[in-house]
Amino acid sequence: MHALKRRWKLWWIWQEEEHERWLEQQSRAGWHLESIGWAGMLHRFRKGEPDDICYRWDVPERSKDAHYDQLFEDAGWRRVARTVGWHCWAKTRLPGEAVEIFTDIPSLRRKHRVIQQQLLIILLGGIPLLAMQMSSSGLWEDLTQGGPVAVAGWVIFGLYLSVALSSVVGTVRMWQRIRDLPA
Amino acid sequence: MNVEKLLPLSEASFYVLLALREPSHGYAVMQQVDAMSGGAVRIGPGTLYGAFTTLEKQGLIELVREADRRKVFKLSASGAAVVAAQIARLELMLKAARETETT
Repeated sequence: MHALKRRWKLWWIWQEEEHERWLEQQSRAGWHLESIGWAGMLHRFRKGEPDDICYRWDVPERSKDAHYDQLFEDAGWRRVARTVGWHCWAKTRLPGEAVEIFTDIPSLRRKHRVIQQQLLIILLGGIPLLAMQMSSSGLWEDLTQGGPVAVAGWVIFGLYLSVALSSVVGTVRMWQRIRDLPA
Repeated sequence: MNVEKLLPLSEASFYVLLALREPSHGYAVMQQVDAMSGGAVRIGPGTLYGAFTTLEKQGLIELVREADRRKVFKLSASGAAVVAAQIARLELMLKAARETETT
């Protein structure tokens, strides 16, 4: 009987490389990723033999494409998770082998740009929503009046602000990563 | 089509186009590129998927058929023109390099 464990981990889409390293660390300790839920935050691992497994996230242009899946499977990758249009691929690394899904700078740059666009959509998409909420439902009055409605209002406002701030940080970080790629 | 605008091709695109002189599917292209370059150029599936999408949009390759979830592509007439122009450029560079080589 193989043991299972669940781990919550909050990470942002611009931290996908750190997240890959974390999954690889888990596999080296014998905990292999089985599935991911809750927009990438809830992880389910199964106990097995420690292994050197390479994990890579991809954000393809079309999220459901049999040709895409087949191409990765033919190249020896297996999909361990799919969430919000993101695919997590895994492949066992042989000693000394370089294992990558993106093998040149132009394709890596394109992946970075897609992540940057998603961050911008999150950031800009939230602004009109918040503005509409504040102008139509009197949210601002609720916030300043006190009581449970105000507390809930401030929590929502705080959540939006943290997502927006993180998107700004992420957009800058992705811009730096694109800039630092070799020409 | 303005051939010059598409030059220079990235190393991956160049090898993919060469491999598609004969109709081929993704994994066969990866293996061919590996063999043609003597193992120096390896193309990962993410890179190849993106290259197929871009090259098809640019009209340099065309879909021949789909079989068992695999798409078979081949080089188009425009693709062949771009490859020829890239080869001419590479030959010029090589010639210049050889001529300035000190013995």
